[in-house]
Order: sequence, then structure tokens, then C-alpha cells
Amino acid sequence: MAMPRPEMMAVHELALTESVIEQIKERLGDAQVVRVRLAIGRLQAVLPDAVRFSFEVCTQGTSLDGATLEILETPGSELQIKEVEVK
Amino acid sequence: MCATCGCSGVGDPRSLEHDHDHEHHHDHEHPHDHDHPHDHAHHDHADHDHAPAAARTISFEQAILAKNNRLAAENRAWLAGRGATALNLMSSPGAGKTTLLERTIRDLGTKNVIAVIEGDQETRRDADRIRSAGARAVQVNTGTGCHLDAQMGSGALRELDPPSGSLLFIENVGNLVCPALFDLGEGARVVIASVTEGEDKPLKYPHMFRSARLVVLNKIDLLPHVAFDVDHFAAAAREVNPEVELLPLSATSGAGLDRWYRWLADRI
Repeated sequence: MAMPRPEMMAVHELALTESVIEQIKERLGDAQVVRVRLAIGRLQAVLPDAVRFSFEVCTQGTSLDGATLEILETPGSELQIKEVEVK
Repeated sequence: MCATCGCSGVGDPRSLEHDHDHEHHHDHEHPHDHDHPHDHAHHDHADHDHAPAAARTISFEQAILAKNNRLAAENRAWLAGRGATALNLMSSPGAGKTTLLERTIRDLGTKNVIAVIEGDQETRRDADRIRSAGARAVQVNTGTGCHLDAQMGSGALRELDPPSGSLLFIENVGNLVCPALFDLGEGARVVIASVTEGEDKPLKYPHMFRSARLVVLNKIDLLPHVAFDVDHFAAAAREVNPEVELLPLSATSGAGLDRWYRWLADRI
């Protein structure tokens, strides 16, 4: 299936994912990222699958391209970048 | 890769040209009884781990929305600095946000300076309606975006330049899901529902209703014609948000508007 262009997706998960990528690049520059771990609270209206999809699309051609995305689903309302692994 | 200095450890050509300035700790004695072929400092013996090419984990513990929240705090401070009150109005499409604002501007516009930020995916129609009603308005088109964020709010605020003491309405994109996540720097959130929607809407969209200070129930003039139980709706809203205030009104007939205006006056 062809991947839709990011601007075709009208979901807040896309904005959240862009914010994740921006913050990682701000802090780590062009270091190659191999793994990103997020915590997403179940009380937030955030779908992990939509975040995974957005991540795959938005990281293409960036220093996060190919990185594994781990999402911890937590009971509360947190939305956190927990840790990032670089090579 | 070395987690401290970024060199790739023993044998890495880069480690022979170390000119960076972090501390290399030598916690053991160097006998120096052998011939040193190279002239650099003895950094191979640093006490950090030189595992060749191993990935390193960096702890972030940073809010995903950190940037939005920082900008929202700036907006809030900017608004407080000029004594303007901002309300973030959210609803599903068609609940009557713009109609309620038009009516509010016509009724209060002579006493209060009212300004409006209009968020829609496309068109300037709502900003035109607001201007026709007599208030300043800035239209923000989000394209395919489903919500306003603090950065859009920041740009619109500066363009709108609300004077001291003004009442600023931010009409968010019609959507009961996404806008709930994004703080814009508002003083309070108002969710507008209408009697033509399901009375269980607060239970279906708890995030939105949980974040609201006030829930306006619009179009009550239509109650005789629809199967909508106001008490059931109120119970659903209080189930997700026990503190929430509820205000049934009709922006077209004017019923209940006096309470809405009193609520607004208390915020200014």
C-alpha cells in the first residue's frame, strides 16, 4: 500500500510525532537514532498505532530513519519522550 | 561509541586526534616504562567504558508537547500583561460556535472590546461573519490540521493585537478530539454542545469535556422537536468532569444568554 503523504493525515498524532522528532533533533543534532521510547497515557486520546504510522512516515530521510519506536502505554495521562538510543 | 566523548574507543583513528576538552580521569598509576609511539594524552585509560560501536541510551523524560506548552505559557503571560481574557471555544462542527459569537458581539460589543481568532481548515467565512457582527477577527486556516496549536495562536495574537481589557475568543477547529491536547494559553476552555447532538457526547469524548470549565448547551429552542434529555446530558458531563458548569441557551432565540453574559463578565 502506498504511504499517504504526511500532510494528508489530519490527526493530532501527526502533530505529536512531529514534536517528538523536532525535540530529538534539537537535542541530538544529526546523531543517528536507532530507538525511541515514548510513554503514552491511556487517558489521552492518542492512538499508539497512529503515532507509529506517523513516525514511519515523518522519519523518512531524517537521522531517525529506520529507528525502532517503542510505546509504553501507561495508565495515566502522561505524554513523554522517555529515552532515545543513538549509534 | 563512547558515551562520554563520542569517540569509538581504542583503535579508532579519531581517538589519536583527540582535541576535545572533556576531562579524562586517570584513577590509576601510569608506569610509563614502555616506549610511547604517540604523543597524545593517555586517554585510552579513561574510566568510562569504550565499548566499540555500541549504541548509547539517552534519558529524555521530556513532555512530547513541551514546545507547545512553552509557547502556550508565553501566550498566557502576553495576554496577562495586557489584561486580556482569552477563552478557547471548542465543539464539534455545527454546534453553533460562530452563531453564539455573532450574537455575543452584537449584544456586548458596545460595552466590551471583543476580538476573535477563527480556526478553520479552509476559508475566511467565519472571520467575515465575525467582522460583520462588529468585532476584530483573524482567520487561521490549518489546512488539513485538525486543531489550533500554541504557535498558531501566538501569530494570531500578535496580528490581532487585542487592547487592554478586551475579551478574546479563540474559536477552535470544529473537532471534539484533537484540540483537547493543545494548550493555547487561554484563561479557560468552553465546550459548546447542542441538543441536535447525542446526549451521551460527554461520555464519548471525555478528554474534551474533562478539560472544560464551562459547557454551553446550545439550540435549546429546538428541544420540543428532538429527543434530547437535558438532565441525561448534564449527568454525562458531570460524570467525566464533576466541577464543570453547565449553561443551556439558544444563540438564536436568546434564551439563557443572560447567564452566558454574566459568566463572561465574571471572567473579565
